[in-house]
Amino acid sequence: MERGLKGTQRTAVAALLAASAIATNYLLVGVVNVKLMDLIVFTAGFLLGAGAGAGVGALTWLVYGTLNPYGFSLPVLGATIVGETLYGLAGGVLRDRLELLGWGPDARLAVVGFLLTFLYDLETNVVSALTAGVPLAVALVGGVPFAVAHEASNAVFFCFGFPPLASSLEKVLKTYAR
Amino acid sequence: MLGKRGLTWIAAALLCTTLAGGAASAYFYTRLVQVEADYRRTLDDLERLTIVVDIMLDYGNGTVVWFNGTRVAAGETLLDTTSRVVDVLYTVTEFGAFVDAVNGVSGEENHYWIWFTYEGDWVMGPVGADAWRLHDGDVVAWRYTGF
Repeated sequence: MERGLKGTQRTAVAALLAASAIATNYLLVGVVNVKLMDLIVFTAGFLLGAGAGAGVGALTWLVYGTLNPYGFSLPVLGATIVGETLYGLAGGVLRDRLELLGWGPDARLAVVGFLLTFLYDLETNVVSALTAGVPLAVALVGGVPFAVAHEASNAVFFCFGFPPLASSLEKVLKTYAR
Repeated sequence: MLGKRGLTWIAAALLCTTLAGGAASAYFYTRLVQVEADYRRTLDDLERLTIVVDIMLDYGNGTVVWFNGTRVAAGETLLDTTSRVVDVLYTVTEFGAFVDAVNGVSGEENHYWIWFTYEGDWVMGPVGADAWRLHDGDVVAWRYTGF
């Protein structure tokens, strides 16, 4: 798909997806660690390629991490940007390995969502602990409930949300790729 | 038959459950350790503020009941402590509280509830139960005694 779009079209789609991710983040600001951002970034990588997906992830966190109601921390922002690009990269890498089976839920995506989120949480919790001077074990164990909420919600979002989101966006983008 | 891809996905799914289970185990183990430490500290605090006594109840008909290791507030009287473990009916007289019935046992002619303290041997209480303050390790008894 990404090869069929012009450079400006890809940029516009990436910007739209980043804007959607940012908007949903602010919408769900009161629900800690439950966000649609990761799904959108993964979808961006799947539709536009790993590089563009990573760019959407980085851009999303650059905005949301800077204008964040919970405060700003440069090391943590760096960690979240790096972590978020994982979703975009994974989406691009899995593009050729993960044939979509329609609009219905796909358990494989739940696995992908869970594992990516686990890596993201691990990385960001380690950086947050080092930044705050909290013992690593305490931070990792204390963060388990939040991590589980994040991983479980992403598993559900990826399983049920990704197939219809990716399929419908792909359909729309195909019309512009001609 | 599952192919290599199917098995890979199943392995990945099992990895997810292992990670989630491991994280949950670590979290709940840590919570358990914290709760146990809290419990021990609370018990230490409690032990500084309370005493432990043994109370015997002899109904005079061969039935003897022990309330060993009864934890009560420091400085509590025998009457208050007894009222915590059994039903006590008493009358306050000018000589102090007089126990009329324990757990409904009363009314027998020339029978009275008398309390004793153990000091190597059972010694009859020198004052009313409401005037006897218990100390840690005290052993006391109520006997339904006939005269």
